[in-house]
Amino acid sequence: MGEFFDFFLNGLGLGAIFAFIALGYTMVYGIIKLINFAHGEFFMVGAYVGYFTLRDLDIERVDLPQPFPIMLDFLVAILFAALAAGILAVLTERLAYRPVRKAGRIAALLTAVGVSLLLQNVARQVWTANVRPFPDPKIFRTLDEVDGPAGTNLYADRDFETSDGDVVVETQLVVSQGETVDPAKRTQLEADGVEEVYERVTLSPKAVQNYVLLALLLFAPILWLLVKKTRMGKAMRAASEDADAARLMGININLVVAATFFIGAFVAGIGGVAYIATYGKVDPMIGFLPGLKAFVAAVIGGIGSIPGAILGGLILGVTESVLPWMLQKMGWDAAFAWKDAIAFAFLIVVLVVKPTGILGKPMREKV
Amino acid sequence: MAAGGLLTLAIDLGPDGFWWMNLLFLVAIYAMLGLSLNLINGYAGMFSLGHHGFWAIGAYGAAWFTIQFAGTMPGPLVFILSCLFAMGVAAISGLLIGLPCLRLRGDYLAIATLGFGEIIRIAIQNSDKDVLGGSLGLAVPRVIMDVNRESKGDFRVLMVGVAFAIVVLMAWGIRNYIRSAKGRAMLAVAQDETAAGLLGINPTRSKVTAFVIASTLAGLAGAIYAHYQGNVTPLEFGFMEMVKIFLIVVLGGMGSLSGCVVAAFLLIFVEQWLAKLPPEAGFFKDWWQVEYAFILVLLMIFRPRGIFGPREISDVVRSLRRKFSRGAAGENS
Amino acid sequence: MPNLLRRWSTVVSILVLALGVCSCGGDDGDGGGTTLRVGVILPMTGAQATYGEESWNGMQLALEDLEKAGLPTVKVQVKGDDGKMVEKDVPISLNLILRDEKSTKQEAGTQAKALIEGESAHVLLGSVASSHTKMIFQDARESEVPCISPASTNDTLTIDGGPYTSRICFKDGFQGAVLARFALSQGWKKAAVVVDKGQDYSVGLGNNFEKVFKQAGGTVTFHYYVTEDSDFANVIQQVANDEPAVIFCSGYYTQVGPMIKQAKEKWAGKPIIGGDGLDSPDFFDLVGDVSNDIYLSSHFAADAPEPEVQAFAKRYKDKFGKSPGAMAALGYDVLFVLMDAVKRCDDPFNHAKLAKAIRETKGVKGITGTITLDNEERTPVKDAVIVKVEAGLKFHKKIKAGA
Repeated sequence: MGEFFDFFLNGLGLGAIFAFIALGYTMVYGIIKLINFAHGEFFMVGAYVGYFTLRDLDIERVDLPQPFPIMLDFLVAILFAALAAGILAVLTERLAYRPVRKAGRIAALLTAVGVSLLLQNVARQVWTANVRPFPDPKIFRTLDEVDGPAGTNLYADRDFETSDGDVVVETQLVVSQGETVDPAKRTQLEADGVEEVYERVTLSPKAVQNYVLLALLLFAPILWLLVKKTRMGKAMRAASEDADAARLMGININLVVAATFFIGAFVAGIGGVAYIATYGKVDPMIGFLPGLKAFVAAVIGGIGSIPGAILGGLILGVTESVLPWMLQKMGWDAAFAWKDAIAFAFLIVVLVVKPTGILGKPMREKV
Repeated sequence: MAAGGLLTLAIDLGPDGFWWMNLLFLVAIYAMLGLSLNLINGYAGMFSLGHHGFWAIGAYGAAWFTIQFAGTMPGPLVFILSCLFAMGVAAISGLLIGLPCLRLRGDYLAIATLGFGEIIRIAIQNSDKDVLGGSLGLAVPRVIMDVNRESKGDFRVLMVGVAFAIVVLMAWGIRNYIRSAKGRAMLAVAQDETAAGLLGINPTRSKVTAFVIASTLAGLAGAIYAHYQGNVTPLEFGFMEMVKIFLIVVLGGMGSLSGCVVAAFLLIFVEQWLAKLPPEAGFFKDWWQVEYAFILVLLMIFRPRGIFGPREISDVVRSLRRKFSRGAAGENS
Repeated sequence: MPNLLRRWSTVVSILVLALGVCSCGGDDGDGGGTTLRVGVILPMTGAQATYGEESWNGMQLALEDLEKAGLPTVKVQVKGDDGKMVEKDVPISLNLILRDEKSTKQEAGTQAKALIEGESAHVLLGSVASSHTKMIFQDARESEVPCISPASTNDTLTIDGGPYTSRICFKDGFQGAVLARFALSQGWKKAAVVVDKGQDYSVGLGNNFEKVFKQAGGTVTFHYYVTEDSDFANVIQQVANDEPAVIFCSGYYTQVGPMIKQAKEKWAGKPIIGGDGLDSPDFFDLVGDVSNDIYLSSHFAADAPEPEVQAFAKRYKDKFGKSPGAMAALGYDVLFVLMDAVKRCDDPFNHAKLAKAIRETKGVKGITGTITLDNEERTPVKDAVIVKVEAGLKFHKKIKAGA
């Protein structure tokens, strides 16, 4: 039973990230009936913006007691990532989706596939296709602050000049864990040109996933309230019921759609930072599979429904984790290598049995 | 034994010739895929994003069959039988996936077929090394002729010939099907399913038939492709290929067969030509993938029904000629 | 039917027209037959980018050294002073044509075709990942163009590839045994093997490890992931539940690095071993600060005691600013092996003759050891090194090929 619980929790952690991305899918689909394939790419762009903020902006050097600098670092990264993803989504909607809104569903869906490929490949060109390690937050210390046995490994960066005159930063392990730093060691380090050492905070995925779950618990009610209780939410619901009637009632449909895209991508941007912090790397392809899975999650939960997206995400995550585990227990050794296939098979089953998903409204057919 | 006769030709194509033959072969393959997808997405009014899965099934079916039977029968016979086998496997999987999924509509069908395409790829990748080769893929024995430095040119020319013959036959067959009673029923279902149902057409049967025919033809494209490449690996049949096929259908105009072939030529030519450019060629080569996606988006915004729409090339030529002669006549008077 | 014929004749005539317009490509001269066109296929971008970058840097250094030492000469007919044709020794010039396989199998095959057919390459070098090299070897076999892989270790690669293909690194049969014996020598009797189902290299290395490890009385359990995975929680959990003495991560650095990082807590304190697929300057950054001892088997360690290794490492670092990894050393060596064959060959521009000369490579002293190719597998028997990962890759010990 304990083992089952482990896999269940792993699935929940994964599902929380799917749910985060699925929120945007479901909101957009709910309002303009468009499967926004590019949503995974908004997520990816958010992840990159978060990556560069964490790597280059040195917010962690802020003069505050720990762990506030690291928290601030992440908060700024998340904010930038979410804003970047949101703005990108609004631009995409304005430039690509709005012109085809009247051209039919297939044209709109193909446009979405095209935008997705476009963003993926632009990212490949601009940021290269290389896999980049997640920049672990650092805790900086001057040499004087280090005294006695070191609690963790301490590293130092030094510049190295090549024969062509390029300067390359080199990371070195200067004090290993448990090693005592005494004046002699300090003098030696100073002689080597080390002025400042740092500790690398390697985040555990469990901790990050706990924050993601927490954020989900925080965001989902906010979004739900936004849709149910505010004027904008009322406009969104009206637009999704009948866009033409809503327009006649004086609702600015374009504004409502843009707002929906912005909110959905904003949330996906947050998910992007959470994703790279949990899984430790970023590359231009990270949007594709999680995006697809999140869409599957949204469909399973009932596309168009916010609680459905969260439920679908969690169910998909748990299925992907627990089902292969059970199959493995039954003697299928490589069941975990099939987990993506299992997820898609699950999707097809849900679609065939209940096409509108678990919490979805039944479809109406206009004849 | 046309193959035996060609063996003695020893065509030396030279660097450009090899490139052209490779290009034409790929054009033929993508034209086959485009034509068959056109049946689903252009005529039958359905929306499949899993066509690459049937392509993969065909390729692997042919590869498996060839490995089992190479050497036990004359080579060309193995080739033909493997193609038939591949078509059979693709048809059966088309039926199996079509029956439950075709109840779905529009976006939902698209997503279900997309999921199916991914399942195929994952299943092949995880397959046992001795059965479908797993991630390593399968090496397809050369059964038509032995391919080496001397016979490479003959082989390419032969395969290009075979492939184009199939393209022409396929286009002719699809055209006739659409004009037949069943084909007209399919078009009626695509227009309005409820109305067609009221006229006594069985919409599900009509849709499943179209889907199975299209899968079978994609399976044939896969079989020819596998014999040409000499090996098959699971990653060749990714979602990107699906987008390419779709782009060909859309570019050529949904419901236009000749447009499909021309679009396949344009797209594959530009792709191969850019791949041939040295890396120093810079911008256009590096940004090709971007431009590719960009063209798709622009096309959807400005010409959502394709460059020519559902018209055939000959229609376009005729209307242009008419316009031109009318213009000329106008000047004269 | 006639109607149909007319329609299709339009299509065909458009195709033929396009063919005629575009096929008049120019043929570029190559300096009168003294330029050896060497097609190089490496993963310069994508998930294995550091392999490509390091190998290419290594080749640049080798080219510098070879040019300094003087390239081998070939006999060509030139017009003498009196207007008659005389035979003269002219040093060949090397034209390295680099193509990026983008860390994908398909692109490796496409680029091999492009280099063989479009560029008329005399010889191919590449690639790193075994499944990508397999694609290149297939084209090399059918077109009968010699091809040397600097770093692909999968056992059956050169056997399937045929007499035109060879490599200059050891194979996984040896690497798996090295790792198994290393683990046993540390007293680790129970191993969990983590295998990437999507990579031949990973699957093959895992099986080779198992063979030797089991023979010597160890126990092995297998766990699987696939290349596209980012979330390794489940495989980490399974390994942790097995409570192994050592974890063998058979795979490439872009997956194994994040995996170890995600396992920071669940695998705490457990020793981890891996193959040469982890030998990348990015590996440590991907792993982060974990408490495990990580060892990997490789072809080369930049801080090994041999003077020629030291000299190479220093030169490499001065030029590129980073310590060289195994791929850099192999990239350096592969060009030397090729030049050695060219020297021994009476007509290096003939594919068959050059391939024969490469097959007969004997005792070429390289940075990664002495390279002698055998006729059956065209794979050298070489020493391996065990490298320890601590803020970079540190030499741990050398394991002799015979042992």
